[in-house]
Amino acid sequence: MNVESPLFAEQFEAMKPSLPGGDASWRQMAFDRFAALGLPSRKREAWRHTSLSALKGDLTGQPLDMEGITSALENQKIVGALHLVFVGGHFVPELSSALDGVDGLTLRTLGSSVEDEDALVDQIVLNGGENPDEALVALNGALVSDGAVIKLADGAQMKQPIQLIYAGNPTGLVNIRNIISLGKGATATLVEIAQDATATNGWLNIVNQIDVEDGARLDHLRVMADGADANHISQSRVSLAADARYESFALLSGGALARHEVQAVFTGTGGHCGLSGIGLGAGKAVRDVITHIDHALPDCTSAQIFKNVMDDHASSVFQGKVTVQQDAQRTDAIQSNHNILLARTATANSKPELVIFADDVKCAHGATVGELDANQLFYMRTRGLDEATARQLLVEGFIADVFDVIEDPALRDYVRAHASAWLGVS
Amino acid sequence: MLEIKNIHATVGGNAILKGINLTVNGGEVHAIMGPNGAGKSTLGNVLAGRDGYDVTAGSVTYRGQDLLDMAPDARARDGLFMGFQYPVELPGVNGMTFLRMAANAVRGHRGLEPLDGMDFLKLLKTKMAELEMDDALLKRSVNVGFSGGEKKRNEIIQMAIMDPHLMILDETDSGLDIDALKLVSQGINLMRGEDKAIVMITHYQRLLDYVKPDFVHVLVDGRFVDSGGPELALKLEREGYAAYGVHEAA
Repeated sequence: MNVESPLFAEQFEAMKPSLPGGDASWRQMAFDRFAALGLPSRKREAWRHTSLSALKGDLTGQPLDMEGITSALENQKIVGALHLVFVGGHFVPELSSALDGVDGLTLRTLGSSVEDEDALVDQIVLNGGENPDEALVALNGALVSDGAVIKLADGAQMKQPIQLIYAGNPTGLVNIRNIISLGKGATATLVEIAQDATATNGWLNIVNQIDVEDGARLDHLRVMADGADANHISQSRVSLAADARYESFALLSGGALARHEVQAVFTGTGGHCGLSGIGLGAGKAVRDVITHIDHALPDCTSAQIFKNVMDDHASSVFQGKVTVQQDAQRTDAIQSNHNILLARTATANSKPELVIFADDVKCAHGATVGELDANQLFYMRTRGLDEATARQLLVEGFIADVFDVIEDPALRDYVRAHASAWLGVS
Repeated sequence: MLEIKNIHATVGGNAILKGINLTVNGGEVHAIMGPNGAGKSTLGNVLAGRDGYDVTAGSVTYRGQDLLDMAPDARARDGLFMGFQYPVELPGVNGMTFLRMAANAVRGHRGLEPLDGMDFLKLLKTKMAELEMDDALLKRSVNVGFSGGEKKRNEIIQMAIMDPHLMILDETDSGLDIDALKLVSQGINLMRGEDKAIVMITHYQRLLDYVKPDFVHVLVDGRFVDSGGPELALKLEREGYAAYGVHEAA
């Protein structure tokens, strides 16, 4: 590394003034940390399949043409949800719901909060230590333009989903940071969607910091359905207190690169962490899922199910790590990753990793890679379905059970519609 | 309806069918019986168009067309129905959706409008009443976790909804208890008609008590060695295939 001129140093200086809290020391701290770490190379296991080499260009990107964005947004909005729309990485109130008026919910944007809240600022410069895998979190902190700050009071039961919609991202790099905290016993549903949101060769870098207090529950859905040549990287850091529950579902169906990373840690006993997702890829797409659930305390459960369908030269990655610390007795952790390759040239990389230090635990994992079953295809064809339809139905059937983890039928349909769009099923 | 002329077929390089001739006309019910390994299922698979079954000689004409030149789905859309000995499980594929797609595939080929959800349900209700079955099976994934009998019933439901011209039923009676056998047989009998033909492939005579065939053919070692009326099936039941030089283990 060139100490005199770290990667992006000039661009950081140039971009700072236009970012909220522009000259704040925390931005500099975050950037210094990024500069020290550098972009993770593909020699790092967690980044082995994600190439960041294309990121080394211009981070600022071209100005946007707002035409067409507004109408596309209307189709993405979930009826009855609270909508927060971010265009080009900036909250747009005219396109969004009112942020106040829901009991127990404090909803703000990061851009309007950073100047006056030290606690928030502390959170942005995450203490990631010297781990080079954290570099993009640091870069996100240095260049963050906006995000949602969602806080539910103790006992608040949010019936309306909160939906974050990303749109109109230019070429270059857009950094969004969402900070979500659920008070004791609170429940909420968070939906993020980036559908045709990012310009060709553009990068969207999202960091979610999620804090689920005692007995609270967060359902978190992410739809990564960006345009064919876009890159979407997301990292969710989840902390689960006693008896807290976090249920996450991610659809990775768009973009040249869709990367979904979740790191969850139990900070109390009796919690549950459910991570699930579906990766769909064609062309040369990469669908990269990295999870780490840290069973630091006893009597917690986790369940993971990820399925991928890759066509052409697409490749999927599942690196699922579960750590069961020495004290974490009576942990129950299951994990599965199943893959179907529609072409001989497609690839599935599956790497379950269980690190267990306790002795009274139940841990199971399973991984499979296969093709569509010739017997099934033949059977369907003898019922009059042409081969393409039969293949679509089988793929749909293969991923169908993953959607079942989404309890709300309307949200399940919403997410499934995006998968069906990819599959070409009407 | 169907004219099979001197077909020879190999599976994995092994000659299984060694010159089969069969003519099936509308309104007829044929039973093909034979010991294990005679080539009964191979004949069914050849007619349905499964990959890996190579016809090396002979021809099959179905409703005036070269059947062997048609893709499996084209055969199905044109009214050839294969009832399987072991129906395949389709995890995650909803039974109702699958059945409607199958019905509409056939309807499209016949120049009929596709049925929407409501119209399909009406048709289904009528058919299920005729079959004296309920549609509980259709709310699940196709054949997944079904008992042997349920799988066979599901085949009969598909057959009734697709309304085929020619039905090839491979060991449809295997694995059925007596009540299920009656129900399935009733479903087959409902399909009989002047413009329809049924070919039942079976090891045992049992099914033929309920679905009376017009012709019985005995298949041994890839050839028909005998043909006759229903009485031939009764004779086979009594005497086995010994008369044809076959000695089956009990």
